[in-house]
Amino acid sequence: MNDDEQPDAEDKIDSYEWVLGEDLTIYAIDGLKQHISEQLDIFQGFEINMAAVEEIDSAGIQLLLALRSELFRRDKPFKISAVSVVVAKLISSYGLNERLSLAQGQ
Amino acid sequence: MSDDGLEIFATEAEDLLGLAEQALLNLDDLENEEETLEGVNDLFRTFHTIKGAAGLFGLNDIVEFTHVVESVLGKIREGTLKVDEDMVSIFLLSRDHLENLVASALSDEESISDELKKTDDELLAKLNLYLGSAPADESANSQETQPQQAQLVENIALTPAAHLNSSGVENKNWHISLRFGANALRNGMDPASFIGYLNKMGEVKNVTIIEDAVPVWSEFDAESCYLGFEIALMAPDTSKESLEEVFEFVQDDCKISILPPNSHINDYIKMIEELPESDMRIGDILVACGALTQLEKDNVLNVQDCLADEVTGSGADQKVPPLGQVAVGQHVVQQEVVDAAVKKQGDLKKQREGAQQTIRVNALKLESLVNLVGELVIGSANSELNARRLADAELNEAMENQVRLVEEVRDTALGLRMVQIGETFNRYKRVVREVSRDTGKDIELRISGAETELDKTLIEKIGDPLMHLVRNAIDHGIESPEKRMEAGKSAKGVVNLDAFHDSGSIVIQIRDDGGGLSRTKILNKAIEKGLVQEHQQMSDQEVYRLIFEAGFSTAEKISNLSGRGVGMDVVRKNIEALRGQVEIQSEEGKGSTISIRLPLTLAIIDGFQVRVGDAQYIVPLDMVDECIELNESQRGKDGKANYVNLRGEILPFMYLRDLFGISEEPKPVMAKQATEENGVTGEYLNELLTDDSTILPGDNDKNYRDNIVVVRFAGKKAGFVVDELLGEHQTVIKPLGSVFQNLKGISGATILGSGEVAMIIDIAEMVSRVINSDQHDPQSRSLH
Repeated sequence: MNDDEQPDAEDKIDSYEWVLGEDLTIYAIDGLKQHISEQLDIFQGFEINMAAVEEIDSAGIQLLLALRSELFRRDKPFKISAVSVVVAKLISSYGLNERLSLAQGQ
Repeated sequence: MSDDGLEIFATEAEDLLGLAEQALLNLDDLENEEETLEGVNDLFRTFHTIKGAAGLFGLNDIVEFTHVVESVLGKIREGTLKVDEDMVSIFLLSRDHLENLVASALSDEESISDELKKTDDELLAKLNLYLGSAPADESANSQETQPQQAQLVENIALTPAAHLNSSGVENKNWHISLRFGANALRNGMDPASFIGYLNKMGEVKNVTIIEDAVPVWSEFDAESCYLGFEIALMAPDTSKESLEEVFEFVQDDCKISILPPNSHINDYIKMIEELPESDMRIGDILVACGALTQLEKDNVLNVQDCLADEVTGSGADQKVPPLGQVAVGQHVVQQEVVDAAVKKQGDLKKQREGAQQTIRVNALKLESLVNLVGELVIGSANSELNARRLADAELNEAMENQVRLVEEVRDTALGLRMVQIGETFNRYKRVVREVSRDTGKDIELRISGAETELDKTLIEKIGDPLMHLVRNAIDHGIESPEKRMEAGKSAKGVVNLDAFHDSGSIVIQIRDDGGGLSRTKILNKAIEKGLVQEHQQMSDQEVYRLIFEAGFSTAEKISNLSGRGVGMDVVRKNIEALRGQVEIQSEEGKGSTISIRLPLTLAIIDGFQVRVGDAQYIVPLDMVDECIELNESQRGKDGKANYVNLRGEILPFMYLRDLFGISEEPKPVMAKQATEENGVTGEYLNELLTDDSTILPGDNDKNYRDNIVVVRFAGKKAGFVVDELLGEHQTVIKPLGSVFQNLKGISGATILGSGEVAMIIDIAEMVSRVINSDQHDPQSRSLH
């Protein structure tokens, strides 16, 4: 499911795969937060697919950390299913592989 | 990094380069070594800051060039190089080059132009000569390993120096603790960029992100920064100063602690104490990122626990003393260090409070505000007029309050655009220095009135004409040292730049004690050029003004500074385009003074409204001295007298109706009545109407009276006879269209409350016309 698609009623108990676009920087961050906020109550689990992300900054990393904490608080699973090279590089340089359950080299 | 971030860098760099220029120019005047060293230290820090910031943006050309400049400055600091004039000149050129490199970084070009590259190479070659055989890197390192200066970067936590106690921790890395401010991300300051830059200075061994401050999702603002970072950096050759400079751009909003390798355990205690997270949590983080061993961490936390126990165990109801105090008590840290820390923190607080008193605002926004205030003034005048017509007492009272507030808003808005002229004046120090060197003259520039404020637009536009006049004074005005000595003057010439307010204008004077203008030379040249007739009678002022004619120059040799006759006419035109005037006073052998008289603002003025025939005019109020009645005895026998006795002083005057060619007869209105009928209270008018001008009963054969508005400009007085005095009017100056640009005697137009257009009288032109006109020929006074 991409950013624009709305879930069907029957999806409500399923995991939501959040496929992010190219931009995971401060310029897009408010819209992304708004989008995922709308899904938080609907879905039981979240998979983040960042394979298409071409730009990421610390605002993007912070959003991931905040989402992870929120899902943990709600007892809902958080998983990163795919990352692009730039995302992997920043997560690694911030020493977050373990915290975001991202295998080295993923 | 974002374009906004780059813009911020460019703005900061511009300020820093401005400071560098002043510091370099000051180096020439410093007489003792101590002051020179202080100046060099200032310069070093300035260039170093630029280098650090440029590094954050990956502007390698700037980083590499600044590094070499820094290296030369480092040698001066070491004492292995002495500052001389040539060196200062090269530094000044380097500063200019950096300015161009910053401009280039702002453009979309991926690499610098060939021309910049060429300058880069030339300057680097010159700078490297000072470095001798030592490679730039080596030199830079040598200066960076000097004993540390006092802490430079504000808001960086003071940490007692490790060398105070030899028992440092095992950690061989720098430890950097960062807590970014909420707006860091919005301001384009991405922590990732800082870490990237640290990686260029050494090897980032470990980064631990602290996310404790991230709020719950519902309160989480994704654009705010909540993150903290604990960083281990392996950079054995880096100084603390270099690391501090990396964070200079975020120092105001960011909490930063930098601990050198093998810092004493007290340094870590102090750092932990200052961090917002719990001590235990920070202790674990420091262990996790390799800053402390587990044992060291336990020791740190045990010390804190013991201190707390000691205090609470005493039974006294008192707080745990600051760690600094305890450390002193235990003889771990010297009292002086703690005192210095407390003082520094106090100073920083004061500095920060001071810094908050100014903000940068885009000039276009200010312009837009002033334009809107102009419309508000016109709208308010219209409302006031209508309220008065309705003759409703309550409405009129409310309008009076509103008009007063609008006036305050106007003054405040105009005040926002006022800037001190000192900064512009300081630019000429450089010019004087360079031109003095080029011409072999010894010249001192003296500045006074630097705090005089002028509209920013005017300051920007007057900069170039002033520059030309200063160059001219140095090149043509001041004589060579030999000639000066022969003339009994001191070898050193003096150029004075003065600014001051004078009756609604600002006057800028360029005064030199040089040879003065030669009337004979100017006249001969003018005759040769056909500008004047051979036997034409001309006053000194008229002769001197010839130097502002196009293509006029009496310089015997052409230099690259002036003497081509190109420029002085442009100077005059530029000044006149600003509704300004230029005057010359000169005494041969003693020097010249060029005075530029400019209006205070180009936007809104207090005006005095008058009527002649059916037309209404505005006289700038600052230039109105008083208003007097022209009674019959003063008209002269033929009614065409052109001066009155004003308390023993001769006041020349003219009829505005003659000047503007108005033929209809004056309307039968009494001045004060008329004022009230036009919606202007007589209060201000009464102030202007002096005792001598008390309105007398009108003639039997005339049912109107003439009034003279007495104005003053550049120390000269003149009067204009008008049909009616209408009182004060807030005047929003509207420029005249191109068709009317060359109209003499009118400097602009304004819109009245009634929606009518009123012309603003050009007092400078009118005073000159009244004083110089053929007094017996009314036709010659006409502007038509």
